[in-house]
Amino acid sequence: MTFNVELRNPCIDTAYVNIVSPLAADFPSLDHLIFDDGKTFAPHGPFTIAFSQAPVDNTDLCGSVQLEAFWMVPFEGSTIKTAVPASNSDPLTYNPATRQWSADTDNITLLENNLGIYTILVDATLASY
Amino acid sequence: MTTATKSTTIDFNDACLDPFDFNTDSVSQSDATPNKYTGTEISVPVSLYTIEPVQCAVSYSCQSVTRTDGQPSQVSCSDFIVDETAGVWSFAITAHSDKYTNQVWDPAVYSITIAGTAVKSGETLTSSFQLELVDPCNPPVSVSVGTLED
Repeated sequence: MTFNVELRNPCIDTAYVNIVSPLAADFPSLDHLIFDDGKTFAPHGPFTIAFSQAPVDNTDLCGSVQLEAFWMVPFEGSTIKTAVPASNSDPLTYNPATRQWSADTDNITLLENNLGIYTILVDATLASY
Repeated sequence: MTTATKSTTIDFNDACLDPFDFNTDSVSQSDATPNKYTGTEISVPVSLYTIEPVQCAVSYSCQSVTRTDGQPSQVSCSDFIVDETAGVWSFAITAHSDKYTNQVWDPAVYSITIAGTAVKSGETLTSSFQLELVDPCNPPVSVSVGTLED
């Protein structure tokens, strides 16, 4: 007798594997003074992998979490999700390896939108998928 | 696909609303060259105040004019033209001869108080320079004896 076994990848099924965002307290709002020296903020909390069908012996089963940062830039009455570079960018830089935002700008026109308050966000995905 | 997104905000603020530093510690205004009511413009450049961040604007104006001898000043702030060109500020005044002959501006040493205001924070600091209007008849340029007549 023969039968087929289908091995499914749990890493692409949210019923089995999920990425858990840091708590709000570990992902605080930031502030920066235009014209001030550049500033690198403390690392935000990590994104972690949660296995729904615990226990899982191999916690590295799905590989690493890849982070990508964005900020919402106003444009013609809307906002555009704009990638934040990983190095030397005005006004924002995001280092995914250290999970740190940096701000450095003399651009006073940033105050013209929403009193200078911008949404920033980090998307986390599984690097291998 | 397994993904997650976390968002927050960044609040950019204007450092010029509360400058890190604003002072006149190293500022020494130059006095005007003494003038004998020559009618040529007397222009005095302003030594700029220190402000951090340096991008914050400072506006200069005349706050008051007094005489160093304590007498009331006939010269007033309205007699000065305060100009800014490409970041260079100056105070200018022209003493025409009629100001002397009509006794409008007395020969004296005048002290002009400059008010420098950080534009966005509103903080104001003062400094001063002196302008000496010299009596052109004391001494006169020349005195000659007239023809003696019997």
